[in-house]
Order: sequence, then C-alpha cells, then structure tokens
Amino acid sequence: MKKLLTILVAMSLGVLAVVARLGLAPQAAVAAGSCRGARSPAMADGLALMSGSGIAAADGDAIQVVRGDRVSRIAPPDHGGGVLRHVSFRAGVGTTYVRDRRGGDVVVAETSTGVRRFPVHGEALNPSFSSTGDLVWAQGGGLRIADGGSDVVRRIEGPLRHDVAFSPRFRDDETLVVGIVSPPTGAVAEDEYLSNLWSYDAASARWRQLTHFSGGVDRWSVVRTPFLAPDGSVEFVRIHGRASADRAPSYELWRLQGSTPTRLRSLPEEMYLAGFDGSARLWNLRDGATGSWKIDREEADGSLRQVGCGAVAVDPLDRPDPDRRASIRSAGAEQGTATQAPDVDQILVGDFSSIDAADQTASRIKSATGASATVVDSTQAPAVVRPGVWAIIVPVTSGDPEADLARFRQALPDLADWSWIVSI
Amino acid sequence: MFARALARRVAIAVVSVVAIVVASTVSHAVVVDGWVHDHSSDGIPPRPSGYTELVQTFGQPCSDRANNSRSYWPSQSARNVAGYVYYHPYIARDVGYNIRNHVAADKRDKAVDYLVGGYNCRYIAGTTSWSTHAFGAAIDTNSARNPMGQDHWNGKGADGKDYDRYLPNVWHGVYPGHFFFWGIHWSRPDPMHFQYVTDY
Repeated sequence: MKKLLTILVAMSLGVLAVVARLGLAPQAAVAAGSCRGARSPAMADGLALMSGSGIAAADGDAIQVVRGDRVSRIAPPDHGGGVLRHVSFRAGVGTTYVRDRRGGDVVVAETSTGVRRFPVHGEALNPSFSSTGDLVWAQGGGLRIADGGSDVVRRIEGPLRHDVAFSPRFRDDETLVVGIVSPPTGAVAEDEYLSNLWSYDAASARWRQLTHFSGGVDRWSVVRTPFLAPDGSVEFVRIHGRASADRAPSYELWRLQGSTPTRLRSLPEEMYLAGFDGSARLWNLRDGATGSWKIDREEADGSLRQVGCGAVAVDPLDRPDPDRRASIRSAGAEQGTATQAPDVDQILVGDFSSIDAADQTASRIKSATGASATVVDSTQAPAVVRPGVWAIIVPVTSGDPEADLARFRQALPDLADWSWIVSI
Repeated sequence: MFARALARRVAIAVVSVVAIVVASTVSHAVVVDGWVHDHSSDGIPPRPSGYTELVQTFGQPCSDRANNSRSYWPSQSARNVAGYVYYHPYIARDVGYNIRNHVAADKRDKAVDYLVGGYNCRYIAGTTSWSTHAFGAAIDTNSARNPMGQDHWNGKGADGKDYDRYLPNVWHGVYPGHFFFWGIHWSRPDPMHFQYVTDY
C-alpha cells in the first residue's frame, strides 16, 4: 500500500512537470484587473514560443503566451537588457520581439533553427514573420527584411521622405501591409497628425497607398495595429480626433479586403487589436492608472472577456521607454516641493471684444458667485491677455485652483469654455 | 491773448488726461502686482516621473483638465504673431508666472520664435503612446528652428539674432520654477520640447 501511494505521488508530480514544461500550466483565465504587480515567475521554455497557436505578449520581463483560456509566462530565449516590446508569434514559425534599449534596439527572432539577434541603429518597431520564416521590422521611415534563417538584413526605403514606418505585416510571402506616418509639417512640428496603410510588393519593389484618410493641423487620423485576419483580410484600428479638443478621440475597427477599406464598427474605448486566436479577435486594453495592458477576447456576442496580460503590438507603459529615460544629469537639479498652492493663480474669464461686455459679465459673476471680478486688459495682464480684448480676473480662494475653477464653471456653465487658470 | 488761449487749451488737455486716467483706474483697477523674480520652491509642484505618476498628476490624456490654463506668447503661431498657449493648471505657475514673466522681464520676447505650442491631443508618431502634449504637460518653443532629430539648439530668435541658450536655460534652469525636462537629452533628440515629467 505504501509503495502504491509512493508511485501515485511520483506519477502525479511527473504529469505536473510535463504540463509545466509544455507551457500549459493549468492557469485559468486571468481575473480582470490583475495585470498590475508581480505574477508567477516565467519558465524557460522555447518550445512554447514556436509551436501551437495563440498569441504572445510582452509581460514585464517575460513573454506571456495565450492559447484559448490557457496562459503561460515564458522566459525570453535571449538575455539582453532593455524593455521587451512588440512581440509577434506565428504558428509553426516562431516568435520575434524587440529589446528596446537606449540608442540602438535589438530584434530577437526564435525559430526552430535557433535564436537570432539583430542589433540595429535606432528604434526597431513591430517585427513579424511570414509563413516561410522571413522576418520584417520597421526602422525609421522604411523596412528591414531578413530571409528565413538568414542573418543578412536588406533595407527597403519607405514611400515618403522623412516619414515613420510601423507595424509591417506579411499579407502573403511577397506582399506586406505597413503603417506609414506622414512627415511633420511647419504647422505640426512633432507627434502624429496622419498615418495610412500602404502595401509593399517585394517582387516589383513598389509601394501603394491602401487607405486614404486625411489629417491636418487640428483634425487628425491615425491607423494602428494591423493584423491578418483568418479570412485573409487585414483588420486594423483607426483613431481620429481633434488636437485642440479636450475629449477622447474616436476609435474604430476597420477591415481591408483587397485594397478596399471598410469601417466595421466604432469601439467603446481606447483599444488596439492584439491578433486572433482561431476566429476570435484579441484586444489590448490599457489600465488607465498603471499603464499595464490586459488582453481581452472578443466573444461571439461581442462582449469582452479577459484572458491574459501583456502588450502585443502596443508599447509597454508600466516601465520607462529607455530612449526617454532621464539621466541624473539631464533631469536637472533641485526639485520643487508642493509647499502650498500658488497664491498667484487666478481664474481668468475671457476674451471680450468690448469693455462693456466684460463689465456686464463681471457683474453677473459677482452676483452668481459672490467673488470679486475685475476687468483687465493686456496693459495690466500682458502675459495672459492679448491686446485689443478684455478679460475678467476672479481670485482663487480655496488654495486649490482646479477645484475653484470647477465650482466656477458649475455656477456659470455658459462660461465653462471661456474660463482658465492663469498665474500672474 | 494768444498766451491765454494756449494756457486754456493746455489746462483742458491736462484735465482730460487726468479724468481718463482716474476713470480708468477707478473702474478697472490694476490687479496685477509687479512681477517678482521668485526662485524659491514655494508653490512649485513636484515633477512626476514615469507613466503612473504622470497620470496621477495630470489625469488621462486629452482630458478636460489638460488645457485649463493659458498664457500669451510672442511668435506663437507664426513669426511675430503672438497667441495663446494652453496647458495643464499643474504647470500654470511654472509656465505662466515663472517662465513667461521671466522672458518678458528680461526683455527677451524676441528670443522666442515660432511655433510655440502646449496642449495637443496627439500620439507620439507610430506608437500607441500618448504625447506628453496630450496631458498638457509639455511646451514646444522655437519649433521651426529646432525640429525633432536635431541634436543641438538653434538659438536664433524671431528677430534673427542669436540668443544662444537663453531659452533652454529659462525652461530647463536649475531653479524649481524652471524645472522642465529638455527633449534634447533623449536618444532621438527633440530640442524644441520641454516637459514637466521624466521617464516618459
């Protein structure tokens, strides 16, 4: 009997070891909201990064593999430094990702032939595999391609001068779909006002624009996270908004069938495609407070269910981008301390094209709030009022300027869009 | 006769000027005290570091709070065309009181050249990361002469004179109220860019 018990225990331990080895730890779908903080340690298991289906994501220093309801945390096959990001898994081929480092990044590719590392000068974005193992990533305004198993990297120039390329995906073995950011202009000197999807045909070495969204100084439109869908189409997220508007932009899911883009539906919040698991869409959603990413599966009824954690094609936010990390020298010197609220902060209401209009509104403010309201012009407050107009200064009394402004706007909602906190 | 007429005209003119000044002062008293160059840390908020502190301090990107402050800058939209720059109230004292007034008090408005920008609800190009401008936590200045990728500061102002590093020193100075992080220190330098957060 004692022998039998020993054998049973030994067999159980053996089964558990095999399950763990295969990266199939019977870990249930991750409970919602658990993507912050420490999780189970990663296992070293390259097999899980090359076979099977599902997706892979950067989860801190580990790669999280999501297959159906099963998740496993795998130690990356290389030991480079930097922040792990932009993980891409192709069934039967392998896994590739970027080690984002200060200055030059490293693209890492693990296939059945082993691990290859491609150090690059500058930023590498969104590497991915073709079905035959060719590797592509975006770098600067163009692409870099390494044929399957080769360490030789070919350079492909982008379609525009001074553009930024991102998210290249093989549509088939010869054709790539790539996001291209329009170059900065005199009016939009940095950040993005427009991007579109382009295709690159390797046989003819030609670029062709696939989507024709427009954007400019204020209204902007960007495309993000294109993925090859099971039906052969390309699905992506389009986001559009206004640079001057203080509200969230609009998120939409689009499909590119051939070269025809179609809007499928609007999205309820900030969310990015993370790939497909079978026919189910997977999404990356940001934890607004911590910047950690959760992975949700879209169910047949359209509802979302969390199945994992980690960043697939999105940027990890819960650790600093090494390229934007401040050294002690560059960070500056002495830090301030919030000893007390600035007594120079005041509420400004304006602008008014005539002094009479300003006087009338000042009277209304006094009767509505009981606060003093003083009309000023640019000779009295040149740092906050332009010449030729008038404004009203209302003192901040609570020591909390933002709270005072909120109360002011509640009392006089018609002035909400015309009231500011100024420091004079 | 001529002298009497002249005296009467002078008297009328003086009375008129005094009346205008007094009336103006009575109905619209000057409320803004003279600016004092304050390099103390009083009222200067700590500079956040990393995404979590950025969001805790400034709120979510493109929020209603992110553009609730403003100040008036020379060469804001074009050379010698002044305009308002909008940003988060958290940096109102830094941008408005300490830095804008500092430049004006030094009589260096011409050191500022276009574009000057603050709040902008936009992504960092090609990424899923929001620009610090979307939080109202960053200011660009002299953008046309200092594009992203340029590894040095071009100090030429709107009048074509070289002000050397006057503006970066005002934004990135050692005193608490001038304590912005300068984008020139990134791997891909961004000399026009000053932000009140690090490690993002």
